[in-house]
Amino acid sequence: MLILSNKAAYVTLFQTEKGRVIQDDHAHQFILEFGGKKSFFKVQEFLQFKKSIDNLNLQDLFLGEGPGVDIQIIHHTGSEHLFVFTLCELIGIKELLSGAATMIELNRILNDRLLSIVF
Amino acid sequence: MKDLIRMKTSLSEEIEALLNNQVKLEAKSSSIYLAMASFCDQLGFENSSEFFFEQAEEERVHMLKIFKYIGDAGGNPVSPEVTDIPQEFGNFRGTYESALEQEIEVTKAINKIVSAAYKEGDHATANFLQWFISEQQEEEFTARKRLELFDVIGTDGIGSYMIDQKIPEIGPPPAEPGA
Repeated sequence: MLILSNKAAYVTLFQTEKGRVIQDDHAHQFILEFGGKKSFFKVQEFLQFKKSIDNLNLQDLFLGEGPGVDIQIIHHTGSEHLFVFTLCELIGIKELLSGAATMIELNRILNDRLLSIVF
Repeated sequence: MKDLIRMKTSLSEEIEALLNNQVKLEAKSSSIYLAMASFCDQLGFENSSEFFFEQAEEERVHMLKIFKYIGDAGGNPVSPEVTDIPQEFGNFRGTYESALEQEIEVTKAINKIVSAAYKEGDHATANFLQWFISEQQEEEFTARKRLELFDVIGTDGIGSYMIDQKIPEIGPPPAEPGA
């Protein structure tokens, strides 16, 4: 739920049955809860991680053949995160990140339109 | 709730992607000019070869300028992968035609980013790119002037040699009075 107060430290940006993405205003980071694990991302890491997931073409992966095609390993250079996803998990993470990105964009619009001080 | 991404970077995802594409385009442009320098050198046109070497360096400077801007704005500049560089350009004239076409492509790409920046209200990026707009105006002007030499002098006899001698004389358009 989006909260328009600057006092809220933790805000759940988006949640599905598979997990959720939380914004931590105090530590300036995003928290991803997925598959029973909790991962912490700095802003740039989160954007890069989303980009890596976005770049995966699910259709190609589903139609692909050969060993290991149903497993994707996402390593994010510069951070400690190493993720191993099955195709079903990839669908879940894509949905989660896409929803979180939409809420981040909505928050940006709200900040621009409602919270900016007009001189 | 804080806008964490805006606090980290002033660039939207779209503008950052467009700027990174431009980094790649400038890098590719630099490599193509280098190939043109080599091609002209093989043909024995020393002035043209030297000119294309300088152009290659100039495009690299453009690339670095944009690369640095992305980083300074809090974005993530990506070192570009440059592949598929042509090594042959048909003939002497074809090289200069390719050079003009390349400059036109760069101009179009810059215009696209400026339009997107204004659309998003990103005046900092639009302002940053004003220098590139002027630069491209000059690049296209001089590229056309060089190509005109082929029509004015022709390539018969010692024509190609004469064109190569004239290449270093082509400069930017004269400044407006009072500018």
